[in-house]
Amino acid sequence: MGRRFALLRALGLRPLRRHAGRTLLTLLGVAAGVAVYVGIDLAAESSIRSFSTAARAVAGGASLRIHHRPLALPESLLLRLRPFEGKADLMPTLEALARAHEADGPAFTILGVDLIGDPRVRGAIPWAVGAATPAGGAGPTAGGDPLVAVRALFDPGTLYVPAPLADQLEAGRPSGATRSDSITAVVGTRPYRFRIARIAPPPGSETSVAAPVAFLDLAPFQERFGRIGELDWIDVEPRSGVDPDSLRREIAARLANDVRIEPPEERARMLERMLGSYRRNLRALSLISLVVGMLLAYNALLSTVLQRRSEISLLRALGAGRALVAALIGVEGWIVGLLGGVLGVLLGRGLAEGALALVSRTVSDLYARSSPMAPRLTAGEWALGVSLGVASAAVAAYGPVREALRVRPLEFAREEHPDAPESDAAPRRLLVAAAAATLALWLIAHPRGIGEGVRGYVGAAAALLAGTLAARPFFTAVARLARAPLRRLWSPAGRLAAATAIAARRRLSVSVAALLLSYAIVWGMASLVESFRVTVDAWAGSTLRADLWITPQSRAGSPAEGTMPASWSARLAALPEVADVDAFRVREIAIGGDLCFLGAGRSDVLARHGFLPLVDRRDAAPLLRRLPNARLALVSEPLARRRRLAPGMRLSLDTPTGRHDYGILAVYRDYSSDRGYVILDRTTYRADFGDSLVSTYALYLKPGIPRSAGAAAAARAVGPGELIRVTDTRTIREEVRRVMRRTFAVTDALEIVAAAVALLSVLGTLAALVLTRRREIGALRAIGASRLQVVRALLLEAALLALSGLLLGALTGCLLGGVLVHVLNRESFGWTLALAMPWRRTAILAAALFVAALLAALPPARRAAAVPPREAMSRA
Amino acid sequence: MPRRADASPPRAEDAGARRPAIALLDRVSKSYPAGGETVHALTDVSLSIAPGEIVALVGRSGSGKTTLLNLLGTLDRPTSGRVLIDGVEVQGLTEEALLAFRRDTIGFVFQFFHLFPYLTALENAALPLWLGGQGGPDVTVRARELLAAVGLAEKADRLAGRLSGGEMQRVAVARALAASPALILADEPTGNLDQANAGSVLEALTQLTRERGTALVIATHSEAIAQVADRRVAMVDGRVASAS
Repeated sequence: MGRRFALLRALGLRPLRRHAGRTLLTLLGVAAGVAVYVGIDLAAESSIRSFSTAARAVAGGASLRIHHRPLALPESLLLRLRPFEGKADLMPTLEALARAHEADGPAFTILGVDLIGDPRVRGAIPWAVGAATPAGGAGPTAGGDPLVAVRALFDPGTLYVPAPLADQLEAGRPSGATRSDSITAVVGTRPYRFRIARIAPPPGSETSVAAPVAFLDLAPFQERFGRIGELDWIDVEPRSGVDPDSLRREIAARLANDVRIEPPEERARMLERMLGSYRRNLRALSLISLVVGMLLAYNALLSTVLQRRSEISLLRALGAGRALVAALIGVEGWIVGLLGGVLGVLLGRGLAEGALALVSRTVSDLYARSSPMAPRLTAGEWALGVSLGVASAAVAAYGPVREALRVRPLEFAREEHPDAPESDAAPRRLLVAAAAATLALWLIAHPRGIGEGVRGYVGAAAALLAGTLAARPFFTAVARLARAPLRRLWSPAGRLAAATAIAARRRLSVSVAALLLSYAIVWGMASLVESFRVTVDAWAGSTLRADLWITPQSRAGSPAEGTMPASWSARLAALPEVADVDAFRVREIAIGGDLCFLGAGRSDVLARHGFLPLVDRRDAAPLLRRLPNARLALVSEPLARRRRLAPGMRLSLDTPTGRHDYGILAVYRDYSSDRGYVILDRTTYRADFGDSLVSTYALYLKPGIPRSAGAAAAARAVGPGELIRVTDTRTIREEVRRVMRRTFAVTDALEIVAAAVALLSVLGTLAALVLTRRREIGALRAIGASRLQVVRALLLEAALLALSGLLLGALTGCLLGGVLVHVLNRESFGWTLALAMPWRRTAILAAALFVAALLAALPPARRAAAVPPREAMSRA
Repeated sequence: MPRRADASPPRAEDAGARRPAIALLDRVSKSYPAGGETVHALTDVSLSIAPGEIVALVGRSGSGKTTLLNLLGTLDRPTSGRVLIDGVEVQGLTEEALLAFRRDTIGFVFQFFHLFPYLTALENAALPLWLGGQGGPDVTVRARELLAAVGLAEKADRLAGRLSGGEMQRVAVARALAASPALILADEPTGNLDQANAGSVLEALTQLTRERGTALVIATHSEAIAQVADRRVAMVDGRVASAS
């Protein structure tokens, strides 16, 4: 055992040090792949985890939550729950989503809780803080008047802010603003002035980070925000010894049918489920970088085998068995995989910091307010990263180990050449490649809805497999085709380059594959982005027809955030500049465990002015006219796909007036949210939900009225005290594009990593080729080849390699783009996109990669030119 | 243009020095550092090779044969002394000039053939001409003639990697003769071949060089080869021990 280990150490590990450069390259390949995967996954995980952490932090120890979301609970419910006071702490809560300072200030939440009785904040509120230390100072004032202190707790003008959030809000003040003890919080369309009282973070140290929450007592909250008699939810914390499940059943029995009692994280869990598709999409893309890293490792390990061929041959002659030979190469792969995995996790942690801002912004844009926490490296992430490193190195080592096992004893004595003309299984490779491409095409032609899960992965893998397998035959064909022109144009370097390329096609095609994969990945991802851009641009152009949009300033992300009174409708409609007004309400609802949106607008206005693209291409106007005063609904495409809804089916919704069925009239295209919409007419919504608030006003101006005049008139009409945002359609469309760019910003980073790894692969391959051909190059120099001729031959070889990689990469990229757009996107988000090819971007990138590949080939070429001619004379 | 030097009068020990020399080594020494010490690979060697002459360099491993061959082949520079090839003092040449000079003047046959396995026999034979900037059908015709001369006319279009060892070395002979050099240097040309192949390669090499009046220097351990040479130069510890 010990002897075997010593042998492995001497023969397997020492060469690692001897070829430190190549070992480092392999390590980097594995680490880069692992780092991208871990980094993006950590960022997504941190962003997504913030929902349940925030929910848990706000809920404290409560294990149950009674709510009637999206509606309020009557405060009188507390009376009905009085019998349970002995069994549990009941913690009534109100919530207001706010922005600090101004429209674009930091977003935070104001919770109305019982500051004296609520166990979650009791320990954090110093009794005299309000009276004695209005800001800046924390802690109780010894010897203060207790009555003054208690009165301060009920002061509607004092907001209790955990110190970390207070620091964030202070840091978020507009530049130039003076430091102050006060803050303006914009809630809905109204500004509220508060004095800040700093408090210690409530128990559960993550609270202020995961959930930027400030506190008001319940009564002042109800008074200031006009919520008298209402509660948003009641958290329930069972006393010790009380079984939560039986308590839940008992409370549920006392509640009205549509009031729910469930764990506080339930909404967060639903959101996290929804985000699963986004995460899956990111994972699929980052897995691809792992594949490219694997190719780099494969390439380097193969170089090791080819360079150590003589050694292996000698060892075989001296009696080394196949197992030892496999172990020698395997140990290198294993160690590099292990170290690469560790390095990848550490790099991934750093990468996650950068990706976090992008990912959490996207999550906020597309799903719900997210306050990401610092990426956390758990034991699970470590295990995953290191396993990925070892697994990718093991896969990468498979081919080189097989190559090593083919080395025959004493073959060096016969001067057999590793680059001797190879016979390869081109027909078999092409056959499998064709089968993989056919599978990808079939999946593109037969896309299914959301939730199929693996079809996108299978399709992407099939597309990339097709490209990878076709790499060698394709490269050989390109080199053969290029032989004649190269002979004519650059003989003898061109002749040598073409011949060498064909001879070394097996090794060079690994780099061709690395290059084609990264280019295909870039192409595929760029197709997805371009398809989104083109489709959403066309959709926004045709559907966003109102001239102006009025929303509350406090809205930070979700269209359901912040409301405006219905009374503005008449005021706005009476303006001489305005032709029509649509009052649109958006609320969050749960349908079968999916959190989606309920939208209610004036379908008559939409039928007159707007355009709603239906999936079945029917004209929407006649259908829209049937909506008023009828339990009929339209559903958006992502929701229809996820819930398998279709026109003619019925959809049941819980409402304050009971559970009602709504007939589905049509499915419409919508790219504003993958959570999905159910659309009712406003008349039906008001009748069934008893809610007249408005989330967005859409104004249609009379012909010839400038938008600026319309916006000024609208602001005057709602009154100077209301903080609204009036946006014209062009700005909305630009915002849609901005959101899209942010959504896909992560893909830019992936593209860069993929391209860098591919170029490293080109460099590695050519460097290894030069090393294995030293004597051959020496002979070439001895019989009269100039340095320039040697450099030119190597560069031409690199050019052939790059050209093949890019050409096949473009074909593979088209296939991958089709899979990403028609299968993975549809499966993840439910959107139908028109496939658009990113010609300009990919052409620029192709030129850049081509030049970069030549530059990557320069160092090996220069090394080759420096090989002394006497090298040919040296005896083996 | 390489500068031709006045050839120094041949030294007495150079038996073949009655005719003008194609290669002349005048008190050449070569040393290099290795492991903190200086290795004297050649010491004060003088040697003259006449046009068309076949010289066998014999000696044990490490006796300096390959170093001498490297100096004659302009692949290395002496530490002291002069090397004149075809009347040109090669130490003074720039690397580019040396490259062209070597391509036109010297042919090589290596022990391990050093053919390009992915080029055909014809392409291998034509390579020195292509590298020298020549092209067109003349080059192909010349390469075919040479391959025919070494008995490989029918295998001209076969990849070198698919030829047998003896065939490969015959292609290497054709390649060495392609640019019509005045001097061919062969380093153990039959060292990697069986007896039958060794015989046919040696026959091709000597016959073709004699026909063309090309000088041939063969570094070898083989007494059989040494016997077909016009002259036998024995090397011992970096010095010329005897010449006959």
